[in-house]
Amino acid sequence: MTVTQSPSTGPQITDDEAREAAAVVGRLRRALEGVLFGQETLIDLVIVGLLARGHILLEGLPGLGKTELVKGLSRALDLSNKRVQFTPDLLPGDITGNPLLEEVGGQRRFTFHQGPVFANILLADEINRASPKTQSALLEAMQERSVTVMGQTHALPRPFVVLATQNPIELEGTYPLPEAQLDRFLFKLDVPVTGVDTLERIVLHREIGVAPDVPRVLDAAALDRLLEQVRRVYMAPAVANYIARLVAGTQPGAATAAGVKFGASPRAALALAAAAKAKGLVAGRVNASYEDVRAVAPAVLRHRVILDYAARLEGLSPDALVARLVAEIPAHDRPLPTSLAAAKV
Amino acid sequence: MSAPRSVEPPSPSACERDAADDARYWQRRTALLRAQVNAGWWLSAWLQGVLLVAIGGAFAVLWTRWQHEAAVPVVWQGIAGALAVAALAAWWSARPHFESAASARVLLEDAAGLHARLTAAAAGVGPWPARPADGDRRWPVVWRWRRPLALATVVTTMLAAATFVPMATARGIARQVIEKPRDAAVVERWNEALRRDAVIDEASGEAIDRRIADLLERPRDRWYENSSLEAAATLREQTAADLDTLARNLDAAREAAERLAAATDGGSAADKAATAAALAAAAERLAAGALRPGPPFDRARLGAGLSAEQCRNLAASFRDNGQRLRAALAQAGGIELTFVESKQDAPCNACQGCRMGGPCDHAHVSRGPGATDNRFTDREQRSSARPEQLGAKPDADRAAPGELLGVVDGDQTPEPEAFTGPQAGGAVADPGAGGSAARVDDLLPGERDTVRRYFGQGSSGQGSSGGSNR
Repeated sequence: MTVTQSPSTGPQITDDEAREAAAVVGRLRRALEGVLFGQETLIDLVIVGLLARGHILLEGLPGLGKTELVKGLSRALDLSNKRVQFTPDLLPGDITGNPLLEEVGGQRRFTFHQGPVFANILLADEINRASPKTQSALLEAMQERSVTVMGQTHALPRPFVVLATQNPIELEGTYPLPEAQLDRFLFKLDVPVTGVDTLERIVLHREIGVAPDVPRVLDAAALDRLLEQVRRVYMAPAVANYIARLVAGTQPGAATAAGVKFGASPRAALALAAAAKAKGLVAGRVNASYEDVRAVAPAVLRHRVILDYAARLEGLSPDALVARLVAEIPAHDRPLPTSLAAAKV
Repeated sequence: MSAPRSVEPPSPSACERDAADDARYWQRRTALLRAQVNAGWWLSAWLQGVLLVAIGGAFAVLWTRWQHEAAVPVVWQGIAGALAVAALAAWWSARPHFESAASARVLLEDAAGLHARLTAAAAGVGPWPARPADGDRRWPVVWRWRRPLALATVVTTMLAAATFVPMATARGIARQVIEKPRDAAVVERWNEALRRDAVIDEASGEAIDRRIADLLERPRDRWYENSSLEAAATLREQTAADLDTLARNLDAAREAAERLAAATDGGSAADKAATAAALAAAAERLAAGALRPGPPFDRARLGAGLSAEQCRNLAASFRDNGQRLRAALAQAGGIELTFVESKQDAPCNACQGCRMGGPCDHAHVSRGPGATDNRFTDREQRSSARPEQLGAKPDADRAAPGELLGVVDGDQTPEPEAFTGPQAGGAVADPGAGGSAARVDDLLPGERDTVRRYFGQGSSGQGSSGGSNR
């Protein structure tokens, strides 16, 4: 057997490591399922996004448990978390921190007071209500994972994950995120409305004002180890080719991109690869697969594909476009002869 | 309390054996899939060639059945060879599309939901997936037989139609070629026999050839018109008459030579001179005849100066020539010569000349029982008769100015024996023939040519000479 080795990530993850990581992630999943009922898919994708070192944009109506999910995640991971409610008058310094003039030892000097961005998990609630300037400050921190104030650069704690939320209604007085800034988010997840069964469970097991009891599953070191293992998951050339063809399929002019005004960027391809690796590890595998790519493709691509006016007028949604893309682009990149047909399996 | 029973893990060798079996299983499945996809590419390319070969083969079969039916099996072998060549060409052209092992693995693992584990295992990452317990029925491709079957049906139908559709052969068509009129063929046969046996000289043979060629020059579809058949019959009769004359002249020359030999042996000088003159006259008739005998002889040496031996040799030569003439004609068939019995130029009382009280010019050719007057009026309608013999008026177009062409008194002078049409009421003279066709068919070949030339010139210069023609 030939063990391939990526020059940047070290040796490939072993089967035992993958199984152990999957067990840890399973415990984390169960902990979060105790916090947020009936949102197993959302929880899975949040965990995948976290392991892929990505930031996540959650879009959903108020009261669906977004904040509870973030709190539960921070408690399960034993990580610090902060919550910022974005408002139009929020200033960049309110997020990054401000230098304050202090007298220390008889001398006056500016001392940097860290803002809420200095946390492992930051919940940016209703991010589209802040001014573009404030949004930019946060997005810069998300990208650089550091904050620069008065010429001094302050590193953010590791891991650093932003879970931003935005409300699909009440758009008056909001500042929609530009496409370039949306691209910084690994996932955009829709938080679905819960059904009757889930609501019944919530009524039975929850109480207003009482936080759910969440066991501590991981610490920061263990999480770091998981993040490092994700990087060592094997990405086969065929899977990389599939990712490349999916992203290229979103470009205007491609046969599968009817109605697309702007397609996904190479950053989207990197995001797909990282998320597929994380998804593979979550499943206990040593490699990323086509199925993993398909599973994370809607979350990765839906906010990166901009539809043109005519397509939107016809009711085409990014999710429908991505579903079409996934259905029409096979993992096998070569056409079949006319005497053969793909079997429906 | 009994000690807990320990479950021994499988031995490493057993695990390795299972892993090797799994690897072999998936590699075999991959190879099978790869072969199927490659066969599909090859089949798709080959079907195009099959169609082209079938079209060409069908035309080849049809053409071969038309031209040379015995070679049809060779064409089938050619079709089989072309199909084999097309198969090789299809393999060559389909090669760029052939599936690699890695690509076939992707196809297999994606269809089987193996999460790219085959590709990873092939790269040395992770183990091969375990074999499915009940056999993996998730096969990524299926054959699409409709198109190949439809094409095979078309090809088979095409070739079967080319093979079994009823059609005539070129030889069959050739058999339908219009043959020469029987009389012309008979004359041709005589000529061949006579020239082969050197009964007549080459110039005489060529003359007969020219006559036949002149007769057959007209279009084939008119060979069996009345005029053509009449002309052929005339040619045959004329040739038969010429042959008869030749035979009689040979007999006469032989007898003269024999008499001269006898006179030379013991006859008087006067007898010798008379028989020598008779021999010279006979030789003169031989040389002046329409058909001259084969071996040329020197007429200047014939006469009194010949010895008896030379005369006998000469007589033998004439006899031999006459015998060869009879033998050749007997072999060629189609002729009944009267000269065999005739020993002298006696009137036959059967020919036109004898009946008209003139010289016998019928060459003793029988026209069958009974007598048929081949005339409409007192003037004979013979193509060989010259205008002055027929009493025809001089040609007005060739007359000099002021020349008297004739004198008429204006009285009607009907021919007493002329055919005046059916005398009985309601009778039909010539059922089935009428109008201009009957007129045209009744003309002799020479007359027809004259009429054709006349109207051909008349149409070209109708504007100026139309009035005079009328």
